[in-house]
Amino acid sequence: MMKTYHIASYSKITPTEFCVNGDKMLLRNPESQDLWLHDIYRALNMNYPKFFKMDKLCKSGILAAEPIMQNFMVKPDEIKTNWAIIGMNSVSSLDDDTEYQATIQNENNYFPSPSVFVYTLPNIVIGELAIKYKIQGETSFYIEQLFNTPSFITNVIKTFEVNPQIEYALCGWIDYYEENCDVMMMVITTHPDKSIIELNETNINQIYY
Amino acid sequence: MMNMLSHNIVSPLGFSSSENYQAVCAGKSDLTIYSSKFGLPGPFCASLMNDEKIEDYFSALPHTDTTIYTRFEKMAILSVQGAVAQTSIDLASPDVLFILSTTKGNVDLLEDLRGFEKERLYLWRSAQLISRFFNNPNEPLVVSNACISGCAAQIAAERFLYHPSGETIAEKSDGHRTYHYVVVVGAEVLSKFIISGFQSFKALSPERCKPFDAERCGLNLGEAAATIIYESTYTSNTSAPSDVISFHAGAICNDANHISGPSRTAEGQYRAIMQATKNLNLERLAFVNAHGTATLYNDDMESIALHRAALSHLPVNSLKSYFGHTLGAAGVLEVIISTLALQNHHIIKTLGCDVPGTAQKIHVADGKEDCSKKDAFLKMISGFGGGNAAIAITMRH
Amino acid sequence: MEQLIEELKKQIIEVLNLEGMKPEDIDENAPLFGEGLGLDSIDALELIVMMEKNYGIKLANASEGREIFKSVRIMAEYIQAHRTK
Repeated sequence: MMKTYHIASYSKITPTEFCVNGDKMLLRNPESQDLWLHDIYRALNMNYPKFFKMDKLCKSGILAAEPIMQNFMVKPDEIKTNWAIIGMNSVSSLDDDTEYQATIQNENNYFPSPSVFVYTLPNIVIGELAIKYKIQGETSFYIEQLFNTPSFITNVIKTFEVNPQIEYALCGWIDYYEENCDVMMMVITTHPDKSIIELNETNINQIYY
Repeated sequence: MMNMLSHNIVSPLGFSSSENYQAVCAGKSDLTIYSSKFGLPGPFCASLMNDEKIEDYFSALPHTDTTIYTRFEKMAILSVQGAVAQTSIDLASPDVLFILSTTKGNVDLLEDLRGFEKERLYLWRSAQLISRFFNNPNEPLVVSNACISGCAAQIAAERFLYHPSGETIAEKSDGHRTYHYVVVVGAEVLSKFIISGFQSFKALSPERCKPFDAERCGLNLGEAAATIIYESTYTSNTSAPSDVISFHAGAICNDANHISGPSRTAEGQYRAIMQATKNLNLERLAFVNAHGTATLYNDDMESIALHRAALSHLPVNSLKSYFGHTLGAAGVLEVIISTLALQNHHIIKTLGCDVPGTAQKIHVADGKEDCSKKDAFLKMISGFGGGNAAIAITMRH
Repeated sequence: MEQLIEELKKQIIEVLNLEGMKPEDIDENAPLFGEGLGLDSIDALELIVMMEKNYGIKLANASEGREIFKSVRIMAEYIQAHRTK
């Protein structure tokens, strides 16, 4: 029987808004003294100190995943081998790359930082998500020039098709560079009873654009 | 299922797969100690390309556009050219997809753009330039999954090759399609950025590394570009070579443990091995080509994974003491060398391993094992971000 | 010594991004790794950088660091004895 694919939950972070399942959860306060991402962290009442060690790409991925994973964390210590994580973006880890470069640029102040260097890979956000949600299935990261709906759907569906044990995928477009946050994450599943909308091009276009 | 149609390696050990393989068989390595390079304050041991050779080979390629390519792009293009020249494929055909595997691409431009546009920092841009050099009309895919990228790219390639399983939902999607050939090119160049980063992790050995050795103390980095052209088993109409090399299966599993250190119980690597070998008769395996970076933790982890998978009786080797760790190129380069070894019924010994000393006992290949009746090997690889991959390659006479 | 301990606590909080922590939250005699602050291998490497940057002390590897980073007090004593800045 052919599998059907459903979106169980989704979120978006732009430079000014944080939305979950289509509802605006938080609008950026221009008066805020802190980073937009830190404001979202506090609004979500998160208690995850590791967050503050992450680079901004990872922070945005972790924040976008938080509300959409809640329903799947009933048993928080359970290892999820039937989940995959798929990440995509355009800028790779360029935001953190720039920060790392600053630690080695000046030969009179040359102190390469390991805690910054570790984030100079785009797939680390996937690693952080796997750790937080105990996901031991397939994790992958792709780079494309622009978000592309057919490509996104293809990568997701192919992951399910070749891995019959995968029933859920935490996937998203996670792009962050120079304060420009362009993040869309969703939980996609083969279980129709978890569905809020079908996975198809029309719905993805409506969510992303 | 997909078959290997052709391949090529561009590395300090040569500009063709066979040149590289022969160098490895002769025990050669270009791992050299550089005392001041890339503006780094201290010495480091690495395997670096000769810039003049890259220029010589590249200027001999027929091309008419005026694009100036970066060192990284030139190496990738040379490697693809070397692979396609052995076939009759037209890379300009829409039936061909390019997949680029790299961790940092042109990151050396961050320090100084050197006249290149800022866009060259984007991996998708390099991928476009590389595929368009060959007039390929499709948007290339870029896999950037830390050190496992080269294997992840091959695993992705299989999903894009034509398979007559009937229409799936994915195929109904506009813009989605499958291809007859996928060009998987893995490439990496070194820079102050990359080397200083590994130095800050205290991960580098000051001399040539010693994979699996009890005295091992870290890895070396290396530069390379490696290409494998895969074709769909179902559309293959090439005249059968003497051996058909097939990508039997591949899998990626995450440790979900730490972003830069492997799981102490080898969780992800063990699962990836089990998945990749699920439908394989294990008696066919001649050897395991491990990641074998010569760090304390990696080599221990791999020995635990093999032990858990009941494969520790198999000869294991690492190619890192020949090439260094070539990051985004490693998964492609090492599969090619291992394939040539399999075809020649040879198991490459691990340079630098004198007295094995890993958490679990493994059989480090001494190069004298008989594998004439075997026709498969297993590739293992793991990287930052908790990713672990395994690929099973089989040969049919 | 007490001033150095106080200074060290502030630097640790800053360098390791221990958000929301104040110097008074850190017990100078408690272990930094394992229990206590639960720091990990990357934190240890970052402390090695801090030692060189702020005090001119070069440590060869992470295991040398582990001995010195047993607690803030032990760190301070080591710094007092070996600092070049």
